[in-house]
Amino acid sequence: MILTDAHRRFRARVREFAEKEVAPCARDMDRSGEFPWNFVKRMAELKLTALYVPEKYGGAGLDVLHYAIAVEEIGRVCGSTGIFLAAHSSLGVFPIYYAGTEEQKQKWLIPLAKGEKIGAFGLTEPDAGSDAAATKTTARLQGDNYVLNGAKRFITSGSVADVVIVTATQDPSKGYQGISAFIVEKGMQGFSYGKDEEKLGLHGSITSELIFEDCIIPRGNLLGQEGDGFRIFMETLDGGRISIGALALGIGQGALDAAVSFSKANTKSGKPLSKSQSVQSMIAEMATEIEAARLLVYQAAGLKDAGMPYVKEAAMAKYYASTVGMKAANMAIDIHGLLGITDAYPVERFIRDEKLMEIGEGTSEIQKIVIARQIFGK
Amino acid sequence: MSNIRLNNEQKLIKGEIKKFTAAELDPIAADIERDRRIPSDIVSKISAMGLFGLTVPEQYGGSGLGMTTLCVALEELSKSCASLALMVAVNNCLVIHSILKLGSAQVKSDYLKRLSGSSIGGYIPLPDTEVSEHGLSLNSDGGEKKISGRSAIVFNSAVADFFVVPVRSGKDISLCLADKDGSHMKYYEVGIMGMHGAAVTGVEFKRVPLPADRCLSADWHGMATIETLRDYTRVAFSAIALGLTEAALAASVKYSKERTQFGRAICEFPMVRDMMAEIKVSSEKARALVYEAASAVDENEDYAMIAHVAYLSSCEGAVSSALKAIQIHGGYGYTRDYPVERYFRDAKTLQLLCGGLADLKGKIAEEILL
Repeated sequence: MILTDAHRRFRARVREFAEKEVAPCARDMDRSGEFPWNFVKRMAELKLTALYVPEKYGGAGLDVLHYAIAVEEIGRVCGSTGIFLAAHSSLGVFPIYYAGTEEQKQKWLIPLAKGEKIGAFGLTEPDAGSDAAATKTTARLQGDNYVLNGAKRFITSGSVADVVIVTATQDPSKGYQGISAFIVEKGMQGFSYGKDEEKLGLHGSITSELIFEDCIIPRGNLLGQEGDGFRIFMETLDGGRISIGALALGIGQGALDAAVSFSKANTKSGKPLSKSQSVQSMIAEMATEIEAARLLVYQAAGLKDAGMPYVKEAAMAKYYASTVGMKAANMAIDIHGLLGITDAYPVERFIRDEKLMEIGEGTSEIQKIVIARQIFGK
Repeated sequence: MSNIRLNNEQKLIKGEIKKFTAAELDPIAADIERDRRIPSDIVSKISAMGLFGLTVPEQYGGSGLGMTTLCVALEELSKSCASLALMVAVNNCLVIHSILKLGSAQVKSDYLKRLSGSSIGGYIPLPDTEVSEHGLSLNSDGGEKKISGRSAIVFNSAVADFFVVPVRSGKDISLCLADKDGSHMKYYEVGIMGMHGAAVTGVEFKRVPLPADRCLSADWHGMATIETLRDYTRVAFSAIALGLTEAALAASVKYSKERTQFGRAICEFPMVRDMMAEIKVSSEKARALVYEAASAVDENEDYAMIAHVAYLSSCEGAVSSALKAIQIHGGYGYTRDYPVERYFRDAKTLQLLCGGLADLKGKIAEEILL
């Protein structure tokens, strides 16, 4: 896909930020598990936190393709910073942009889009993962308030978020039709946090458990109408897949870049690795697959920008980019050999980070079901 | 399926290890990961069970057992803690076997006796490429030979009394023994993907004196010798890969029966069943190869080819099986609350410890074309 000049210039700008500012901190972030507060601030200054949202709502007024490029470029050096951006923009910002009233947009979308506040999305529950419609968290209308009870798990940026979009059912017997979405603010009465997860990778990303015990939410915090929750989260996830695909692509590209520079810099029996036919074969395979993934991700973004159907393409982009990204990260370690398993090189971090891309926002198995459903009809 | 016929002694050892891991090791698996070390009393108990000196011949006070028995022990141990299995494998293969094959009568009698007791040896692996962070060389310093350089990965380092060290001198390479020496060796922590309990550190050698008789392969035909030792090791490492694959399967079976989504246990979903079937194929393939290779070692047959095939295949199987196990566990599998992410990190680490993929394929092709 040939990018416009504007997209190319934008890529160069984000790449400079990623390489100069984020890359030098990525290893320490992985070791310490510290949340990158400074990069949240910098991304806000660079207007990266809501690229596709119009300027009147605090965004950059650009498009989804810009957004995919930004996530890709940041993921290329640091998965943790990349997943923060993807979760904030797609899961925190999008639902309010998509379903919020003008008043809600003024109140919450603008500070989120500007990156003054951090957003998160509370959908997954301990017993509702792939089966997201099995939400057990309940919402009950009581006077002018809703009362929430239940728990959410694996919520990216959950305990650092100022605003969380939370799904809850008002009538479990109605299945997905009983689900509504609510805007919950940090510090609301009855809203607390369980533990943050210790994970295989993405150590600089916070993954939280959210607990609602008679959490009281004003009626004005309902997003859309009652029962709109399922539609809102499906639309959110459809778009989110583009950004996770972009992140998977970026991490895979990072692994490829690392393998290329290692192969140029190191010799085996006196010969540069880059002159070895088997290394060349692996690099060619990785590069081809990553380029194909890039086309899928950009195509899905382009379709969404054009207002055309993109559900199948977004699922394909996420599924394929994470699959070939895992393969590339794995091969990159193999090319490094013994030293590839040490954190003196970034490749073992890349594979640990990349594994989540096959799981988060719909596993690869769910993506295949989505794709097949688009092909066969429901 | 493919029950390897174990003799009574092997059954006994397997049973003993199973009992030990269930009672003492499984409950502290998470602690080992967090503390990045196996408690010393666990190491002592494994040592007292005779596992660290399993292959030391009886004449030096060891158990004199063979590769098949070692593989039985490693498979069982690695189902619970691959780090501990790695420590045992390193000691029996890279340390004991090196000394047995290459040591002078004096060195054998000194070191093997120590190894049949509570002594553990460390081993410095060869890097796959010429990189400055890893490599030791020999210098003559006023007539006295001294080892200098650093190694980013040293097996058993934190618990070892001495090290088996590949040392370069010009184009040659030789294995040497170096006793632990606080004044000439500096240990440093390394971030390593997996095998966190395996007492791995980096070591810097600062002009460590090398007495003449501590050079194991004095003829300096080092590389061919080292390759033979690595083949022996690869068989043992394959048994660890097998144990990890079995562990990935057991965890997946358990989780997929307990976890319910869309109103059914997830083990009922074809995509989950496919993944479990693929893990099973990997484990049976590894089992057949590991014990075929082990019996070739024990029967004194040429085992280079089968060792390469077994190591390549079983490590690939262990890595892909662990990744599938994480996938089956979904979000939970990505957390440290379940052991599958550890199986993956351990398997990928194991795969790189004894020669890269391209190397192994190269060797197998060479052997086919002979």
